[in-house]
Amino acid sequence: MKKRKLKIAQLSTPFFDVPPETYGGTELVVSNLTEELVKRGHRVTLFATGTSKTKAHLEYVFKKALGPGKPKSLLSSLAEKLPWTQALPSFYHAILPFEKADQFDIIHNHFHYYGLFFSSLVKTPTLTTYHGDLSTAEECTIEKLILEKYKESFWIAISESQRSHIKTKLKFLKVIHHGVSIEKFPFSQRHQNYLAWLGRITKKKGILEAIKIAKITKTKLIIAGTVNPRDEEYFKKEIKPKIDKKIIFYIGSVNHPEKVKLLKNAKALLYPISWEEPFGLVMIEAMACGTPVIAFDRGSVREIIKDGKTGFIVKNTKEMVKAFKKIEEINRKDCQKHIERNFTVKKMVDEYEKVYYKVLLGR
Amino acid sequence: MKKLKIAQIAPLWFSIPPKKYGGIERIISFLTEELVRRGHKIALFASGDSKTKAELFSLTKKGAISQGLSWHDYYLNLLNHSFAFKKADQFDIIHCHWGVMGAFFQRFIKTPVLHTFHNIPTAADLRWELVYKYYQDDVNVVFISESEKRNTPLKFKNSWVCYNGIDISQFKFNPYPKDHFIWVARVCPAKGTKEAIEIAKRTKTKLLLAGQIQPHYREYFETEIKPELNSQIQYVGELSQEELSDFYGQARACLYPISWEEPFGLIMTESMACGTPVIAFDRGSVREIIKDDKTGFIVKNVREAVAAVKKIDQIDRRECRKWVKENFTVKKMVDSYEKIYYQILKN
Repeated sequence: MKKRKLKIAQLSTPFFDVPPETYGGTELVVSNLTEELVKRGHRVTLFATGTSKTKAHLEYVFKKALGPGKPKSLLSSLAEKLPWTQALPSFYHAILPFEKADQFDIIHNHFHYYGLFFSSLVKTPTLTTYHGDLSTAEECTIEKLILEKYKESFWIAISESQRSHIKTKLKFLKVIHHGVSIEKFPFSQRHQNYLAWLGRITKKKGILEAIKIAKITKTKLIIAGTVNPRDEEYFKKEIKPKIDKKIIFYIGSVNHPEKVKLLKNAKALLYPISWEEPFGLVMIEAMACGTPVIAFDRGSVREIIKDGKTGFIVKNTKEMVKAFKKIEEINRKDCQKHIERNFTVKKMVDEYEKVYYKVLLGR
Repeated sequence: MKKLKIAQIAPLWFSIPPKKYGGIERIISFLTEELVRRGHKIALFASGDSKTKAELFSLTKKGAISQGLSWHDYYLNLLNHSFAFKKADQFDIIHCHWGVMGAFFQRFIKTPVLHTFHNIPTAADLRWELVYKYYQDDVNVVFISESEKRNTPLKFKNSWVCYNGIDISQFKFNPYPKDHFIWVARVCPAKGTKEAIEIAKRTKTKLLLAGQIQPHYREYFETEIKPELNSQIQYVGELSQEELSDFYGQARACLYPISWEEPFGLIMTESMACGTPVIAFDRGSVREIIKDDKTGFIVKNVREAVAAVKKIDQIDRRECRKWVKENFTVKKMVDSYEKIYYQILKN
């Protein structure tokens, strides 16, 4: 039976463009999802920044991206003293799809809690993909309360790990892994003799451990990624002095072509995280190019890497050094195949489509 | 007139009524209890440690501040609004007291909403641009003074001024004060703690300071206020509602040398209710609340305040009490709100 095409609202964040120029995992996933849904004939309205690029109908409050986490450029000096006013731009942005709720069959919220507050006041069902860290959310009294109040809403987890790290019984309809656009990450059988580390430069992403491993193995490490304002101090104190431009290199934040170049030519991607990473897009991007990933056994890592086949899952830096030494055992073609089979945009959108219909059928 | 089903949505910072500090919370409590007494069906959305005869709906056991949450945790109040607006069909009218975010939620419901602006952001604040402008034409706003209304950078189509009222029975009239002056408020520059001390020093009078020190003004207290304290200038801490009546009543006058556009200033009415005149700087609502030369003196600066202190005995303390009784009672406030509710429902 041919299913009817849907009118779908995709609520992204006002912080980065869709797709993002450099950093912005959530916005990248929203872009992949939105464009594929349009291609499949759905009528999609994307609520994002005005400079976003999409074939969907674009709506926005803020023409320009507000930047990392807080909309700094918008804030008066008074608002600096009253940080909660920072929520205003977010609210102003988040309310849009809900005001027009009757124009949509479903509203897909990617903008964490902001989309939830209005969801209970409209008839159109809201589906929330939570892109952040749920494992620490419950430590905050208020976040716990919000999750409790909206547990009956429709939720999607982005990994089994994310789902398992929350005690509140959220109504998870499914775990849907992110997917990459395979054609945008060309495979490379050959590689150069360096390790790559890519991510937001912050402690829990394991950048110090990566540097340590590069030094022990005397292998060149190329670091790429954004430094958010709140991590500037950390970067200056802990990371910058270690960039010796002999073994350790830092190339700043990277756009798509630069990212592809970094990933596909790397011997391996190091991923020594120390938190419950809910997904980790860069792992599937690296493997799509044929580059194996050596990661610490946290968060979603076990769901994404095939241990011994597309990389190695290890416990600590010592094991990571060992794994590095046998990296040539990994067949780069296997990495690519693994992504083609399990982490494509096509597969992700197939799953989301199914969930949309399921939500609508249940009403 | 038919009795109404009204939702009162309070901010969740403190209980309703508050245990100590919390003017907005006190007003919400007065309004709620008096409406219940008049036979209306009230649902109060407030913290679980609130005391009310209305039906209480609580997301939290305690006020947010006493749970150690920060003023910046706006999420909790948003959740409270979302929670209350979800029940909108059950009410004839919804009365929001948070001024800021309530407007966002009213788009989704049919029940009319009234917002009391217990305080307003400064003109440069983003909120005017982002929230109020957006809702300018369809929010019903109560300002708590003409001054507050004037200081609002936007014109609202449907707005009223409704003065706060106090329960005058909680404030004992004292015709025989002692010889000292008082200052009562949150310790901070806007409320003129330092200026009050300056006035006392210049007139060589005893001054008792009372009020809460919030964490972000701790430094102001330590560096600007504490070094001035001695047997003549004393800080007595934060007083409970019961202690305040005697505290006001025993003073010759209450100093109110504010340096901001105070939207109302409950302290002035409480002081006058005890018979104690107020010497205040001419800012915000002061001109509407003090009858100059009759219930206190309205002055421009410390120099003029010093002169006023010297002629304080010209004030008849009975006039102060009478003035409050006639203009700033709970009864009068609730009469006004009732009228506004019916007017909104008629439209």
